[in-house]
Amino acid sequence: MLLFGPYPRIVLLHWLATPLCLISLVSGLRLQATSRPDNLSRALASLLPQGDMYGLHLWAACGWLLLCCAYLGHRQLSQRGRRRNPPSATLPAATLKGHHPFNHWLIHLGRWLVLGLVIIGLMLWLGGSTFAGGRLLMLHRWLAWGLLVYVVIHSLAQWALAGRVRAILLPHLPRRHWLTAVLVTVSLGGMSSLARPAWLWLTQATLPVPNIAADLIITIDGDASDSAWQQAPVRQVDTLQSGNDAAVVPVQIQALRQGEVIYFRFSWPDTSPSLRHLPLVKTAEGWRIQQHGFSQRDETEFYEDKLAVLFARHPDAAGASTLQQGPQPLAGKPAHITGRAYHAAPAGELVDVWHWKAVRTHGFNQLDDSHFGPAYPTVPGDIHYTGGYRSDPLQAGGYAENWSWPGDGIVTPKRLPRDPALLAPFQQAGADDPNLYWGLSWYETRPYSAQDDHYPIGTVMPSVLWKTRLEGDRGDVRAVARWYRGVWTLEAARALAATSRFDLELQDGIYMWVAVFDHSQTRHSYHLRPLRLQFSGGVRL
Amino acid sequence: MSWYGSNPIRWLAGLTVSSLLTGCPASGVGPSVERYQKLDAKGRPLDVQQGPWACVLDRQTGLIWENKTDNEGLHYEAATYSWFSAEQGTGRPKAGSCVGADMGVFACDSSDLLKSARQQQWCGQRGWQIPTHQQLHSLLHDTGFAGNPRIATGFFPNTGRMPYWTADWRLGAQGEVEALQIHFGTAEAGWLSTRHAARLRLVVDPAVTRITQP
Repeated sequence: MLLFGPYPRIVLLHWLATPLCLISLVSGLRLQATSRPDNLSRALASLLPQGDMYGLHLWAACGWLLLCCAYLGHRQLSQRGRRRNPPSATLPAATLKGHHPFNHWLIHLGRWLVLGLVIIGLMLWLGGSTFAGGRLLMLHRWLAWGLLVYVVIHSLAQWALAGRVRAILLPHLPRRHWLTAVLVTVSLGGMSSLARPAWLWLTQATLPVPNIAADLIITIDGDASDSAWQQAPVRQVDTLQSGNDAAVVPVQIQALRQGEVIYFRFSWPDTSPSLRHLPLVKTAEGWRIQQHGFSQRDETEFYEDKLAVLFARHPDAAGASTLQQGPQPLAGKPAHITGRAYHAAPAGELVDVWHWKAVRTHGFNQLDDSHFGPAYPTVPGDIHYTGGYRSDPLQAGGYAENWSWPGDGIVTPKRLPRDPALLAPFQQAGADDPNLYWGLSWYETRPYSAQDDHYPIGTVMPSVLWKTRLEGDRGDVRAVARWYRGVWTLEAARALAATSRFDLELQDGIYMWVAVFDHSQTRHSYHLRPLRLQFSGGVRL
Repeated sequence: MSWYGSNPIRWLAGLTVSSLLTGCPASGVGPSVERYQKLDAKGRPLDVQQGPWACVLDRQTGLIWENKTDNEGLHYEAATYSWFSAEQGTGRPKAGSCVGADMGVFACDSSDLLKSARQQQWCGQRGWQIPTHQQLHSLLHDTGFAGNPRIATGFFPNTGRMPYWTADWRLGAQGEVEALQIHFGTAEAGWLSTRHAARLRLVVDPAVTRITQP
């Protein structure tokens, strides 16, 4: 491109900027439609792309960076050339007509808009979406809308002042430059694709994993006062909860290795522990599930607190490209009931997911070991398709829901307590009682029968039935959490080696993310850039 | 990223072809959902979104299958039965382990479950049977996830990755009665001495029942 004259270079820059502009805008709009939908993004939703939108947005961002470099080269060459030849000798007449002061001002504005978007985009990537309390993200959105308006006005101005919009496009590019122009365009696309992993690698953060002596004791109890933790550097990631309850949730993370075991500590603020999980309440018609959005997979009140930890071999944004956004982002698979997103890994990839659940796994001293695989086939009769997300295989144990079939209306409990007095603590409990976990042991209950159902109207009953600890691949991670003075602390431990085909070996270079669910079924905070595990001395299994 | 692809060129092609021209998402319903029909305890059809259900009609074969639950009782998923034919006096009686709704554990065999099913006319049917190998084999379905049993779990929840009895039997090399079982974890069939216990899912063929029952 640098060998072209100034006019062909301008044409080529427009060629390259136009698809980048389109891709950046539509992928950004999908990100907005998923996280914080407004009327405009809703209206455009059917035209927006679906899938790995962060990957697409980042690809375009790399393209913009390369284009900025190309533009600077163009400016440099133009300045040199201008000294030798005045513009009237090199530009077509139609273009010269566009040299109106308004057009100059407008083009200048466009440059600043693009530059602003690129710089803010860089800051958001490096500082996280929570940078400057989320205000920078808002500014990025407004500038993106500004760019859209600019494109329209710029096109109109070119048409009005320079004759035709196409004066700057294809017909005026000399034919001898076409092949070179196509090669440059393809090269930029290829370079963007190469630049993305390079960029991800260059901007990665690390989580040091020191070795500790074999005789040091770490008790997995949700209390990180063990002296061993003082040897582990603390890293903090700021996760962003988007949507109407937008909030920044900082998560502190530490890791330690002892022999063949790795330990993690996660701490995050929460003003109140949410230990109610879809309780049942007796009404005049029968039992109902207390919920506002459970049937739409979007309960945000009567739900337990949760934390998810993701491990992947690749650092692609937002969980190694597993966030597939849009109402139906997976080809040939069911639409998502919330219209927001599925999780599914690219073909051949596996993301190990540790899913701690405050109530459902309480007392097991385990978390729910899960994974994101490639999108699973639909299973006949399944009412909730989950993309590539599954709990790892379970041999026995676990928990169950206390209804025969879920619904918005009346439900039949699956079981009732053997001793009705077991329900007494729940009747007067506060919503955020930190000491009352809303569950019953399976073995403290028996199958429901109408003869036993003498509970008065207004009685509340937990819907979580604990069977026993998770047996099988699903129970591979020991974990205990504790809420104390506004902070959840979760300690977890697992063997470095993977003992299941649904787990990853935890070794040098594995990337991790965290996501916080604040009494929420599916909405959670998250961050884009992962932490890279960095073992002292390195670990390669 | 499905049809859009993580590759922007694929995405642009997808946007043009699939979204702008059709603008219509696929139905998202699996291809075999129409094969099965949920039935309540009296045999009345239920919508696929409804539950709980007691039986499942397989429209492809015409067979009606017992549905299992995780609650203790007659349809308890984890109950195991020794294989025994009361009519022929074949097999091993009372060598399985069942759990009643009162949580009491008792010895049981396949004829006990058959007797209850016929007497209580589950789903309005009298002619309940232990399925033949061919019948039970027709339920095998790979969901694509190794953690699932090999069956359409949306219609047949509470199925174990375990062996289930069929009605096919023989005399083994040692002169012992053996019955064929199908393992819903591996989809393999194998002969098992009837002194051992396995799970059991009963079936009824309404067409045969209509002919044989006056």
